[in-house]
This record gives sequence, C-alpha cells and structure tokens, in this order.
Amino acid sequence: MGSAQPTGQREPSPPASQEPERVGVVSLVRMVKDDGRQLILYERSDRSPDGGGGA
Amino acid sequence: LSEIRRNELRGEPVVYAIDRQERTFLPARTHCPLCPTRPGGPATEIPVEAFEIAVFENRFPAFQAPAGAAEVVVYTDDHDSSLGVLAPERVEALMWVWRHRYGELGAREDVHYVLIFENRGVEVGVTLHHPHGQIYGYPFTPPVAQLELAADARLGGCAPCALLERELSDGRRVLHEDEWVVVYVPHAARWPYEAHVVMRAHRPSLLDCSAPELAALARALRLLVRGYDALFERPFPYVMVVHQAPTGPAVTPPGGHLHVEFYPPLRTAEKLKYLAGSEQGAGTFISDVLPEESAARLREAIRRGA
Repeated sequence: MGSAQPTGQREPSPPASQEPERVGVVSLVRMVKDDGRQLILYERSDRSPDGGGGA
Repeated sequence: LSEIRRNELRGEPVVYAIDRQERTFLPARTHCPLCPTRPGGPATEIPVEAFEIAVFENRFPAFQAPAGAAEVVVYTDDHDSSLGVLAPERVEALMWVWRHRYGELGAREDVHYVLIFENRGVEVGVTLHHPHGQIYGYPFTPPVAQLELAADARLGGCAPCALLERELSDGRRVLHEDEWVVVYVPHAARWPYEAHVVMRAHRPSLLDCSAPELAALARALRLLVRGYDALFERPFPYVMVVHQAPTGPAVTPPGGHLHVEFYPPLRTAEKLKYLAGSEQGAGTFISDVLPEESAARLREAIRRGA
C-alpha cells in the first residue's frame, strides 16, 4: 500500500524532486500527467505498523 | 475557460462551465477513473498501482488558471471505502492534505476563496462513487463567504465564535465535544440533519491549526459520518463543506473561522428534503423536524456508529 510506482500504462513525468516534500504527518510527491495536469500523491510519513489504510 | 456572469436580481455570480457537460457520469466500477491503474486494467487518472491520498487537477474544471482552480481529492485507492470507514490516521492525513492545498491554492493571486467540499451519494448529484472530495479555487469571494463576513459585522465579532458559545451554553443540540472541536446541530438548521463541526478556538483556517487540533477535527468528522451512516442504517448522502477565511485581497477584519458544515438531504430513510418553492423562491427553508429532535436522534446514532 502506498508505494507510488508507475504502472507503465501511462507514463507520468518524473517528480520534480526526488526528495518528497513533507507537510505535517504526510509526505508528497508531485507529478505532471501526460496532458499537463498536476498530480500529487500523499502518504503518511509516520505510518502505523498496520499501514493505516483501508477499512 | 468558464464564463462568469452576474445575476443582478440575486446579486450573485453564475458560472458557465459548458465542458463539464461531457464529464464522466457514474461509470462501471471496472472503469472508475479514481481507482489506481492496475496492470492489465484501463488507465485511470492515477497512473500508479496503489496510493494513499491523491490530488489532481480536474479534467473538467469549473475554474482553471489564470482564473481559479479545480482539483479532485481522492481519499483512498479503495473504491468501496468512505470518510467514516477510513482508519482514523488516514482521515488525519487527509486534514494535512486539505491544509496543504488550502495554503498552496490560497497563495495564488487568482484564487480569492478556497472551497474544500465533498458531495456524497447520487441524491446530491455525485457522478463518481469512489470516495473523493473536490476543491474549488474561486477567482472571487463567493456569496456564502460574503454572508459569513456580514454575519461577523452583524454580531460584532467572529460569528462562529459567538454561535459556538450559544450552542455550548444551551447544550441541547451538541453531538460531540472535546478539547479542540465541537459538533452540533445548529439552532436554526436548514436541513433536517444538518450538523456543524467547529473548532473550539478561533482558527481562521487549517493553516492556523495545531497538529492536535487537526487530529481532533479528523476524529470528529469520522465520528459524525459514522453516526450519519448508523442513523438510517445506510450510506448517508450529504454535501460537506469546509468553511475558512477568504484568501483574496485583504478585507478588514479578515474573517473566517474554520468549521465544516454538513447538508444532508434525507429527512427519513427514504424521503428527501427538496429545495422547492419557499426555499428557492423565497430563500426560506421550511423544515418538519426541530433541531433538538434531530440532535437527539443523531447523538444516539453516533453512539451506535462509534
């Protein structure tokens, strides 16, 4: 859960920075979609042992 | 770009975003554009196999640079989840995402007001079932934000602070409170099960909140949504709107008190509250349930849903 690995079906531009930005409890990675729109993926950077997601 | 006209009789703007007519409408779950892109599956808006929270510029924007912004906030890669079902730490993470987007969009010169919202359920016109919200960056200060500024002036200070004090003093409509956040059905609720989640301290926006306050806000939102879902034992449709300080040219006083308002359209498990003649023609809501009664029912539902 949470690893932002491109699938290869649609290639986004690489993130502008290899170092994720951090905001509070989340880190973020920016991408540019192939039509030029911005996409930001956020992950908890202090995730609990169970991954903290889902139901 | 959208066209903005002014409705002079109402004294309000109307936005014509005609490209949105073509937006994706209730696709089959196998073609959900908000799911991750899985190997062998169709490409979606999010070209990774798994993610926690994703934000992207809306493909069918009501506003876009250089005259505003429209973004989609996908809460999870689980198509069947919801704000109430997400783990508490994930909802807390969402508060930081909202905070980040408010700060970044609000810093733009062309964004005068940042509206974070969620439409949940076909009853309020949702077009994608995958759990998500939206963010509009308005290139003007919209009417509701102006009404809130006017309420501050009318009440001689921060209106949400004054109203919170009244609700706590009365107590009959309070659903939940802790050190940082209070949830209540307002004294003059317009919707049968309307509820407001209000920061106890005066915080104009998410940017002014401490980490414990954001965690408490997340807990309160999750608690309320779980209570809503327990009320009629079904996914409860609502419009959820985050109210914060305007970000445009400075107004004095600046206004804004972070709170989240829920406008649920259901009045029973099967019956909707419609905005009809009085509501649309006279701007006067007619309600068939007293806020004290709906607060009592919601308190019990929150207990069951916790």
